[in-house]
Amino acid sequence: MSPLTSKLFSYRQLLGLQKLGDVMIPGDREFPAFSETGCLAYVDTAMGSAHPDDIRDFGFLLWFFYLAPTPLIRSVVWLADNAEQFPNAIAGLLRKLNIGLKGVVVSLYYSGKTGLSGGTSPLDIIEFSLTCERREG
Amino acid sequence: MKHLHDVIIVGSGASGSVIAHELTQAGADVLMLEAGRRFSAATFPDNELDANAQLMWNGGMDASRDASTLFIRGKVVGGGTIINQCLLDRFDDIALDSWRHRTRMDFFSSDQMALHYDTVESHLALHHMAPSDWNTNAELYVKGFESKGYGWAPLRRGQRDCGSGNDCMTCLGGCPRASKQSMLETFLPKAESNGLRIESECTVREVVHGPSFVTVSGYQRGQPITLYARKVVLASGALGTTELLLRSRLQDRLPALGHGFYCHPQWMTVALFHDRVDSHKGAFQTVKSDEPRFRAAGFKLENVFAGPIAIGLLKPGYGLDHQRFMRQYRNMACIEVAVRDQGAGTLRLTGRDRLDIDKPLADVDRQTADHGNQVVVDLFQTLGAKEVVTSPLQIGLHLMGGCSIGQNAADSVVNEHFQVHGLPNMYIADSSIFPNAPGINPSLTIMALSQRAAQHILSDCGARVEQHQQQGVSA
Repeated sequence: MSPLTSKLFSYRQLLGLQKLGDVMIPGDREFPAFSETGCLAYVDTAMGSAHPDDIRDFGFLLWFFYLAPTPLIRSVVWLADNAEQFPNAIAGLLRKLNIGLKGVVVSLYYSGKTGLSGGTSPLDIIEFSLTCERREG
Repeated sequence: MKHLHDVIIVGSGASGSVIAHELTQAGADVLMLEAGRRFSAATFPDNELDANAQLMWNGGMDASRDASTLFIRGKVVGGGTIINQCLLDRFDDIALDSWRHRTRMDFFSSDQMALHYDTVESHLALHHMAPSDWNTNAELYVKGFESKGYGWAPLRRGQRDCGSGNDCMTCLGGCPRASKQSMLETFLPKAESNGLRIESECTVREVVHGPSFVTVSGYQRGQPITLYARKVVLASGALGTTELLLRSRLQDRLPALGHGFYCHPQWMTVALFHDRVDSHKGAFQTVKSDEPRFRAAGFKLENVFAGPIAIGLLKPGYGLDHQRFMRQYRNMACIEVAVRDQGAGTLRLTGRDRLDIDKPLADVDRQTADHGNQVVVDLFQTLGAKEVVTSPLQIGLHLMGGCSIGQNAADSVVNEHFQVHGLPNMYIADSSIFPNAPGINPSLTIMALSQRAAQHILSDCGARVEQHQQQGVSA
C-alpha cells in the first residue's frame, strides 16, 4: 500500500475511503482490490476540482466510513446503487450519494495511476491502452 | 479608471473564439477571460482522470438537482471544443423552422444561416468519415442499422490530419495531434495574431452594465480583478453565462433568465459480445443515425464509447459483478440515445451561492428515451450480443438555454441583435440563447450565430473601430 497523504483529507478519512473502495472493488484473482493499486495517493487529483462544499461533505462521509463496520458500509453502498427503487425524494439523495462515492472510487481505480507501491493497474487487466502519435511539424 | 477595452469576452469556447476572431480582424481591442487553464497539443493530460480534473468544471461531475443527469462542460482555454468530438453538422429545417416559429426571427432559416455556416466552415478542416475510418464498433452499428432498415450516414468531423493507427478517443482529453478543429487550433490563434489577449484561470463573478461601459469583476488565480470595456460578450455556455447573469442580480429585470434549459439527455447502452470489439481503438465516432422516423420521434442514435472511468461509473452495480463486467471492456460495443428534450429545466442560484440545475426528466422525454433505448437493445440483440446494459444515469453534453433569444424581455433574455434586453452593451451568442433543443450537435451553429452576432457588434461600434484601425491605437 502506498503512503496515505492528502492535503484535502485526514489520514483517518483516507482510511475510510480505502474501506469504501474495497467494498466497491474488492478484487479477485485478476483484479487488484482498490487498496492494492495505490491509486488512493491521487485522491487530491480526483477531488481537487470539486466545489469546496462537496469536498467538505465528502470528508464527512469518509469519517463515517472510517468509523463504520464494513457490513454497514456495504448497506450504504447497496442503497446508493439501488436509488431507483425508492420514492423520488429519497432517490435523489441516494443518486447523489452514488455519484459521489462511485465517482471518486471508480475515477481513482481506473486512472491507471498506481502510486509509489507500483501495484497492478486495472487498465492492464482490461487491456486498455490508447495510442496517439503527435503530428510531425 | 484602468484601461478601457473595446470588448471583453467572457469564455473561450465556440462562441467567444469566433467573436474574438471577427472583432480583432476588424481592429478592435479585445480581451478574453477564461476560467480554465491553457493547454496545448503538447501538454494535454494523457489519462482520463487528469483530463476530467483539469479540463472540466467540477471534474465532469456537475449533477442536476435530482442527480439523474451529469453535465459535462469544458473549463479550459478553447472551452467545450477541447473535450468534444468536433462533430460539425448544420441544423436542418426542422430545427431552424422551430426556432423561427418560436422567436419570430426570420434569419432562422437554412438560406439565411447558410452565409454564416459558410463563413465559419471556411476556417475549419472538415472531414466526412469514410468506411476506411470505421472501427468494429462502427461496423456493428452499420450492420445493425442495415439489418433493421434504418438510415445512417457518415459523420462530418472537424479534423485536419488524424493519421493512421491512432486512437481518437484520446481527443476527449484534448487532441495531442493538433488535428481536431478545436478553437485552440482554429479561431483563437488567428485572433491572437490580430491582437487578442487571453487571460486564463480568470473566473468572472459579476458584470455591471453602464450606459457607456461595462464593469467586469472576478478573480484570477485567487486575486480580485476589475476590468472595463465598452462592450462585453458573455460566452461561457448555457450554465456559465446564465450563472453569471444570475450572480449579477439581473433576474428581476430579466424574468426569463434561467428558464428554458435543455441538454439533449443521453443514455449509453453497452453490449457485450463474444469477440473483441475494441471500441476504444481507431477513429472514435464515424457514423450517425439518419433516420426520419427517429428524427420525428425526437431522438438520434450515436456511435460512441467511453473510457474505463466513464464506463465503470455508468454501469450499475459494484463488487464482483462490476469486475466481471469491466473485465470484458474490449468486448463492449456501445450506442447512445440522445433525446431532443421537450421538458425545459430551470437554473437558479441556491442560498449557498451555487448553481442549481433543476432538470427533471419530463414524461414525454422519458417515453422518447425508452423508445430509443428499446431500439438500441433490439439492434444489439439482432447482432448477437450476449448481454446488454443501459445506464440509468443520463449525461448532458449539449447544454443549451437559460438566456433564450426572443422578441421581448418578458419571455426571453437576448434580442435579435444578440444584445441582452435593456442592456445594449452586453451581448450573448453562445448556446444559452437557444430557444429550445434542436436535436442536433450544437457546436457549428454556435459558431455560425456568433459570427452573425459579431457583425452586429461591429455594426454597433463600427465607426469607432475603423477609427482605431486608421489611427493604429487602442482605446
